[in-house]
Amino acid sequence: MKSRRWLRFALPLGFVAALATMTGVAHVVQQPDPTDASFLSPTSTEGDGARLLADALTSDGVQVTVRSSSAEAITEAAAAGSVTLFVTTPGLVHPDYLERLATLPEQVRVVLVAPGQDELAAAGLSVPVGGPRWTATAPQPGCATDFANAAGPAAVQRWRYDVSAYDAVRCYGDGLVEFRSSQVAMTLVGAADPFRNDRSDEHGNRTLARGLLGRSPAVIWLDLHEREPAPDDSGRPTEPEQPEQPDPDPDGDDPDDSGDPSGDEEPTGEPQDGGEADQSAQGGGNGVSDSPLARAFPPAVWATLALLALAALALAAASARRLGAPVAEPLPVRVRAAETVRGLGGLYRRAGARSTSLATLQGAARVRLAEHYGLPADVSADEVAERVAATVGQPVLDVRHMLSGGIEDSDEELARAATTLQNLVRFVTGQQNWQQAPDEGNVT
Amino acid sequence: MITRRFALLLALGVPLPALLPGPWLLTAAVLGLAVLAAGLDVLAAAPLTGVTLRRAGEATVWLGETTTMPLTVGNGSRRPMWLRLRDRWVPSAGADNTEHRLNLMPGEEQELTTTLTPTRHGDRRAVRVTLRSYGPLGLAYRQRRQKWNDAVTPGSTLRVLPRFPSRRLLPEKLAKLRIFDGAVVTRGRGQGTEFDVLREYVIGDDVRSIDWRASARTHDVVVRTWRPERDRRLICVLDTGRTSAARIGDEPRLDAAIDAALLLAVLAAKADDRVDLLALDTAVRAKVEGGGHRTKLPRLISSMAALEPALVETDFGLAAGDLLRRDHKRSLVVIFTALDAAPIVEGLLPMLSRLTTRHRVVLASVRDPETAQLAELPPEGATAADVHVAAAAELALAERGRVRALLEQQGVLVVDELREHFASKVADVYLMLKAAGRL
Repeated sequence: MKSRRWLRFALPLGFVAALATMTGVAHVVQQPDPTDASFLSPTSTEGDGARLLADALTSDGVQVTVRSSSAEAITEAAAAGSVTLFVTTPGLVHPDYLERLATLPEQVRVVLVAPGQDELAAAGLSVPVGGPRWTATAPQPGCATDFANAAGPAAVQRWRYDVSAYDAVRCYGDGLVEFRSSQVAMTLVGAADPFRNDRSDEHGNRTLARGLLGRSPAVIWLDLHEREPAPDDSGRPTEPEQPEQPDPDPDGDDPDDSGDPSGDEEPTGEPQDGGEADQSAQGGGNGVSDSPLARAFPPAVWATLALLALAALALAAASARRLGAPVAEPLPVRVRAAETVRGLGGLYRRAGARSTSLATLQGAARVRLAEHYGLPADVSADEVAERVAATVGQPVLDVRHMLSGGIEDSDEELARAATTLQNLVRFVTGQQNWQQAPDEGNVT
Repeated sequence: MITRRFALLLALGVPLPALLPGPWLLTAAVLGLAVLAAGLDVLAAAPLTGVTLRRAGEATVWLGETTTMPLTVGNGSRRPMWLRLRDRWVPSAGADNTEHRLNLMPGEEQELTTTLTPTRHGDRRAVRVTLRSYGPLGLAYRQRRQKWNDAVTPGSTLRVLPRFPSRRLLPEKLAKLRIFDGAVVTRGRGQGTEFDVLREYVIGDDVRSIDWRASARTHDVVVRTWRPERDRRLICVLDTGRTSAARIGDEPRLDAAIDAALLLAVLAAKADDRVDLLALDTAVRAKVEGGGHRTKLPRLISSMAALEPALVETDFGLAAGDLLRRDHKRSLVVIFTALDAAPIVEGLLPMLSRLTTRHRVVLASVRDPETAQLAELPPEGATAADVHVAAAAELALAERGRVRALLEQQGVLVVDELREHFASKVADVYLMLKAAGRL
């Protein structure tokens, strides 16, 4: 009893929990893993590879150079001049290299695929990241760049980048943003979907990827699948440059610094937005504190509400504990009186056994009348009918019909015949006046 | 565990964060203070292990009457105790004021009373006393798990004796008995068949009762006097099977049978007969035999109290086996059951002939007035459904008549009476048999 009650509570909860866990696990398993060798690799034909894109770029006349080391890729990009540096896995690039991206020359365009908050911070960009969504969605472009116009909707919005601090081109609901940080042109793409083999046919993914990477005559494709070691000593020279770069963490402490990277960009961003960026940096990705609802009320309101909720919770907890559980006891057996009689009557009715029912009543009536007249029990129906006819003063035939005749097969007829019969018996045995029903019954 | 007072304390702290600076800090402070106070309160509460509970183990009450069960609560700890407790009984015990609050000083004892108005006969059990010891501030309390409470609860049982409305018939029946007995002078000497004593003839005595042989030995004319037989055996067989569960009026058939059996038992005990009891369905549910006259009646009543109808077909073979195995004298066997065809024809009839040769058998059944009512159609406005039910009722009545005839053919006395006259009629049959010396 006790264990069953426990189960009754735990089973549905366990089921829901298992369902949620399974969904989560399936989702995680389904997500592409940047450490897979095939992930956005220009040579891989697997679902999460990017062979199709690489081939398309080559056929567009873009020179694709694949590099598997950040140091090489960056050095080459710095030397090449007008080139697009395509970083497929910014999460695996060592922070020092990310930092160095900012030192690339003006003509270089850097495309980062789904960078996270840490990577952006390492690259010296103060861009708050929103998301991720459960899957990438494909909103309308909503901006006037060539590649976006050509592609139409494309599945790029998984992460969202809030680039209000920069003079940026914001496309696909902040799923794809382009801006210039110090010198280099940065493109942040919120999802890897547009570049993948298996997703390139969906929406305008293929067109977007080709348009995005085909703007420079050459693409340096950084194809990295494991975490890079730190650069030996090469990271040092960049450090002196750090003060020039915007660093979000120091920014958080001092709101005035937020516009620091480029003075001309400051007027575009409103002071409030700067503050907002601070808050998010302070909260360390805490989604609640930067929600508009949280800012709508002062903390005192929230504190009061929290205390009220605690008081309600305490009240509930105090009321919940019983002073002893209720006691169960087996109930006594209850059988309605004449239950079988009613059941049998119901069966007759359902079977439509009208003549049987009437015959039973007639038999009982004859027995009763015979007893009344003092006749033997096995007396014939005719004899009883004659005696009754003499008493009542009715034709013998009618009485005999009442006592042993059949009826038309209808419920009304049955009810009338049975009522007439019993009224007759009651009259003869002196329990009832004659006048009532039999007169009506005689009409039959 | 916390009380509602704790919640109130938190609620009192609600304005503070709104009015003073540092709202979150104040919230934490309010919560912390309340928790601290509650924690101290729990620590200060008297330990539950210090509570002592005592109660009388058993009590008896007639069904329909109200009784109280005192429970003595003592404080064996060294701290004052603010106690709240609930004395739980099974629902059919009809416990009324089960919840009590009391304040006990160390070493003090207090008696609580729980009022019980049972709704069913049989043994009604006290299930558990749940204890809750509050701290002095009333912010928190100690309460243990159900198992612990079960363990400290003093066991107690209230034996509820079945309703015995036929008690009011007892004086009348006893008066009849005394007439047979000769204790009442209306009829001269006692009637009966059993030889009592020899005494001198006085004018007015029946000359047929003169004992000539004894008169020859003495100088006087001596008459024999007679009295009703004593130490006859009476066995009440109660059927607790499915037919006994059917309701006659507002109570199961079994209750009517118990009532009649009680009347019979009291009567027979007064008449110095031995009354045995056998209650059975698929197994023997109660059996009372042997023992002295004095203790017999309470034992009978007590074992009848625990009887309950069960939804099984009665195995009369058990009873027959028991009755035929007995090596005692001829007895009056009163079988309390229903005049239903199936159980009697299939269960009782096969062994009836053997029973009737060794014992005198009476079959007592409460008649269900509803069947007779259903067989009667109203003078007007009957529906076809009524007619079908009436036909079914007529069938049932006819069947009952046949079963009755069959039983009487076998030499069984059948008592088929409505509830109101049932017990009286059964007692009359017994008195009649006793008067006729046919026991």
